[in-house]
Amino acid sequence: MGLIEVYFGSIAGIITMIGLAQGYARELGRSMIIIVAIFLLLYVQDRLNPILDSVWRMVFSTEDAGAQQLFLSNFYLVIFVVIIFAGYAGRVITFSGQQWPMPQGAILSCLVGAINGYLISGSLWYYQHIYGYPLSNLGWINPNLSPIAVELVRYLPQNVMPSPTPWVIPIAILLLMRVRG
Amino acid sequence: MSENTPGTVAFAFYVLLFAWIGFRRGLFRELLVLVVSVGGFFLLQQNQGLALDIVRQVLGIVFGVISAGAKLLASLRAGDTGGIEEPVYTLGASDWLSNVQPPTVSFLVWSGLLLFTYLLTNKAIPDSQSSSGLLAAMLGIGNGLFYIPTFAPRLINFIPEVGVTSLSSPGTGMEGFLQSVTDMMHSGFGDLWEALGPQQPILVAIALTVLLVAVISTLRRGQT
Repeated sequence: MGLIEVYFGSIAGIITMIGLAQGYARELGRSMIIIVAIFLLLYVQDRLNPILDSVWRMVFSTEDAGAQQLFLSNFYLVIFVVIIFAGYAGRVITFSGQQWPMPQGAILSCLVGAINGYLISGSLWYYQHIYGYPLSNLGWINPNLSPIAVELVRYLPQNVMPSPTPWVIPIAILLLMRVRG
Repeated sequence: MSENTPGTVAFAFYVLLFAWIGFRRGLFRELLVLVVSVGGFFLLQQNQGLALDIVRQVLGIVFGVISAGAKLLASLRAGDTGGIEEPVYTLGASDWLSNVQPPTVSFLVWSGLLLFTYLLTNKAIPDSQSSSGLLAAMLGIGNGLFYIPTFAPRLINFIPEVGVTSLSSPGTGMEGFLQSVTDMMHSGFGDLWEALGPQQPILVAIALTVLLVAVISTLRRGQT
């Protein structure tokens, strides 16, 4: 098992590469979907957790805190991944116009891909972090954070903007720009 | 007016200055500078020995040429083309670099590279290929913000009352890269980030929005 920051950094790197391959005109629509996913999960998280706790106790009849954390973490991870998968696999909101040619276009694609990579990878990390890295019980990740990882956790998207409200700003502005055409 | 106000005004002025520079120079030039400054900085941070070797080689060539020229001049003056027993110019590259620290050399190389990139992009890239606009101004600001953690810890040495902040020497590989990034965040943006206080989320949201809007604005209209 490698260091957690390398693990999530690699995910961000792969998404950046996808952005570079796809072009920023398409990636911008995906940025919007990712931001919507982050907003939705942040918005429902506090309201949904008590219900999920009750469901967990009712169905599994256990007080095992580790297993409960794994359940909650996986619940949000699965929803997030499904939304992101839909964003990448299905039709996305596109912005009209043609992107710049090489090399500026490639650099912008890389930039937007890196933003998407940060948002996706940072969100996956966040839902591990707040539930005490339950995937480490399965041996998938190393729960011992290095000093660098501790520092990077402060800059995860949901830690930088913990309230759902600020996430509405980019969604609203991008929607307005999309409607304007 | 709080005691942070002068600092805030100075920071706003700094950001506006780099926005204006970015707007004037255009997107492509600023992109190249950003790539060279960020890429070069982290590359040299992790390969400080390499930077020292390169400087040693370059200075070796320069000193070699000077030494050869001095010998030639001396021999011509003496009317003897056979050379002199004692070298006229004895100072070499290794003498100059004997006490120098690798981080200092890599910083100097990076500064030189940055200056060269600014000059080269100004001369080599025509205005028509480097369009002005919001994104260019934002890239200019990005460049300016990157210079804060790189230059500020060194400039602060000139202010004895404030004290000395130094960047730690990072390791190598991916860990070294991440260490460099977190060091930079701490040394350059730590205080600024803290000073923003409860405004942090809203400012980050606005920055993210402006960045995305700036990228969208580059999409050419009338074509799909």
